[in-house]
Amino acid sequence: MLRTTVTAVVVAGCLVSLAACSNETGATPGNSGGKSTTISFAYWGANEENATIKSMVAAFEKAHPDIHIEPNWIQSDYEQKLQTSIAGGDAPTVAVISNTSLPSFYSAFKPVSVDTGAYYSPAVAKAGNVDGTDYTVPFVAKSKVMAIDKASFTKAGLRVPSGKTPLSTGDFVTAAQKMTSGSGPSKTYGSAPLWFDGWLMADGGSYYNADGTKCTMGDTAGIRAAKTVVDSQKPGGFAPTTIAVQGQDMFQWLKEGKVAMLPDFGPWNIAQFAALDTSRFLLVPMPGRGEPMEVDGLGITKSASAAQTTAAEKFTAFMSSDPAAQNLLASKTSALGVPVVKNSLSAFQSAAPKANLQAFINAVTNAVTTPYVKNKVQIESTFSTALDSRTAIGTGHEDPATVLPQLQNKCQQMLDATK
Amino acid sequence: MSEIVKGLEGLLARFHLDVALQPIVAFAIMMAVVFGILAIAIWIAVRRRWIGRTTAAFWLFVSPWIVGFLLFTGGPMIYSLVLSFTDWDLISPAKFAGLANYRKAVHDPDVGQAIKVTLLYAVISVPAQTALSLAVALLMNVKVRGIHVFRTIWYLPSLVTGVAQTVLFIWVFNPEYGLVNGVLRLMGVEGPKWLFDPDWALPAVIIMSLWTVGGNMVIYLAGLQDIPSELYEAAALDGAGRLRSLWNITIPQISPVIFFNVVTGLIYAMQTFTQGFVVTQNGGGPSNSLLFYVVYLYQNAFKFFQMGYASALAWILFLMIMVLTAVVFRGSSFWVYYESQRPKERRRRVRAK
Repeated sequence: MLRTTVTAVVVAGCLVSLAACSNETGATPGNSGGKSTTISFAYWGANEENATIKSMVAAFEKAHPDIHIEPNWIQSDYEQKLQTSIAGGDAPTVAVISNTSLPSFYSAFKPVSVDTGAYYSPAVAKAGNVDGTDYTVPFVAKSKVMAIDKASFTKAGLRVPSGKTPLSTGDFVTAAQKMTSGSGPSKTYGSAPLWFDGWLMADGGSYYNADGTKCTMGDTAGIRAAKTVVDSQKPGGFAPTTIAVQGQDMFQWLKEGKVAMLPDFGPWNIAQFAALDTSRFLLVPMPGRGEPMEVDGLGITKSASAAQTTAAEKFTAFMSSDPAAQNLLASKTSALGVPVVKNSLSAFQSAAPKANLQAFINAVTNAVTTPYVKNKVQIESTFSTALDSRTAIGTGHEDPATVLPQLQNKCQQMLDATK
Repeated sequence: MSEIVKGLEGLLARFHLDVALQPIVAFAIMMAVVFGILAIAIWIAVRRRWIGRTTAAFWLFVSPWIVGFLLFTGGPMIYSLVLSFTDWDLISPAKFAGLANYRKAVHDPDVGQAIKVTLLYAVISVPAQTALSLAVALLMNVKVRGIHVFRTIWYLPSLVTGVAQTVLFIWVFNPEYGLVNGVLRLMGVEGPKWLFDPDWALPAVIIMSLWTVGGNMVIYLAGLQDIPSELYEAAALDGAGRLRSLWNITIPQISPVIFFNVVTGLIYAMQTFTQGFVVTQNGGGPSNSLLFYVVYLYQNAFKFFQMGYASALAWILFLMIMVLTAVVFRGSSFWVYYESQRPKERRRRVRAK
């Protein structure tokens, strides 16, 4: 009896497995039955961002009832999980990927056609381009602005910055110093801590030259930016140290009047900002040239079948340029980022009409394009660790003027090694 | 493999099986096939009298572990060994690289730093944990009213481990608002920056490791309660004091338990990851002061996507752990006492009778 049962189970199992191996009709989860096509879609985000993306997916399915999207919301370690799923031969048909991570992922995606004229920002249109080929379709821009407490400016006898014209980096430093007062736990700061990478760009510097062949972060602009960041965190400086803000909510500090300016302010905070008293708080452009901008794009996996590719192209086009999707990027409860097409900008601004969201749009329009650099993640990670360890930007004590040229040389060696 | 799973899922989709159930049912079918083939092989071996029924039963009963080991441990280990000779970013096809990854590891200064941090941590934290947990176990072995409550209290922190423990200690060691520096400030001492100071980060993590001594304490306690009381009575009759009894009876009697805890503790310490990873993710561990070996391995695998190099690092770690364990085993003959010394020789003598 046992023998018969075991044999029956094995034979049945083998038959099922063989049938699975010989399944060439395309009856995969990606294409069942021929009538409708199912594609998978991987993305990251917090709860509210997930809700926003799901509403965009629902809008697409309503417009294309023949295509079903299987969402794969990855809450943490997105890139690691995406990379592992690609290596395991189970890549999502469409995946969200940021322009900063694209150099590590582009070879997993099919080249796509990007209508550069559809986007109002040249930086957005080029965000998915690697070595002259487009691999992702832009979908959302995450530009940075600065949130300010107007009351602090008035109290310090300063003119409140314009919502349209950026402060110069010099004016920012002067204003921040004037708005700093007190000492110890009751000290109020002119600004929240400055992020070196952001300040480097704002102050006219960059990590690499225009074509990404040379490291430039150790030049005059880089050293000047590093010194500003270091000085800002000194005992008499205008920003708290990175250790002092450990575990602290800078937005709360702004709300309580503990900091006057909050640079590096991303669009995901829009709903939170809109809840503040807009007669006191204002969004203004980042000083100088502004900060680097993240643009998230949609890539189509190389392993997608013809039917899946067609469906994925419709999906990415819809998400990227159809107002029915782009209008949903920001709402009164959450914001994923700034739309990439002009027609949806008014919908974006209506999410917080009194908050000067135009500053985000201007930042997208004027954003500087960053070059493609192979091994970018490792180069920049090595650089940041060394900079934080050796200079007072982090926990070190060395002079940035000595450290930065050395790190630039190291960066150049790593860059040359990738060629 | 992935194609078979996908094919099975497609087949199950045709039967309108719920999408969420398809992967697990596909996996169950594959397992059924594997175990079925195994059962048939064993049945044939019994029929042809290659093995006895008892042996067949043994193999059948251990087969879940063997299959699990081969699929989820042995297989990936061999695969990683193969990968260690390749250059692979997980996306493009792997390229054979010979010994390049091993050569790179030898010349990589970060590998040296990672080994230094890991060995320092292991060499200090393991003896510290051993000494503290043994001391606590000796204290908890006293027969007084309510001792079970004290034992429970000592064991409780062991339930908060991993990420939760590390996040908790990031706050405890916070230089501005943390409990430790707060207490030091009350005493007029300005504490260090702990996890944010390259010189104090590793000592802070070592102190953190003492939080979980409760687990080892339970093992020591079990060992202590196994020591025959006659030994202490005989020693007392001979005039031995408490310290003498501890040194000549307690320690030798529980030396196999100490040995077990040292070996396992050393292996765990060499694989330390969570503390280093979580602290550095939160801005601590400057100057690579918490660059544990496995953290560096993880960075190469899942941050820099150098899977071949990461695999080589994994095999180097495996060899280091094997060597360290061998050294500890070799040294154990000088300090570990077993009731039945030289058991093989004794067995031979019994048979000779």
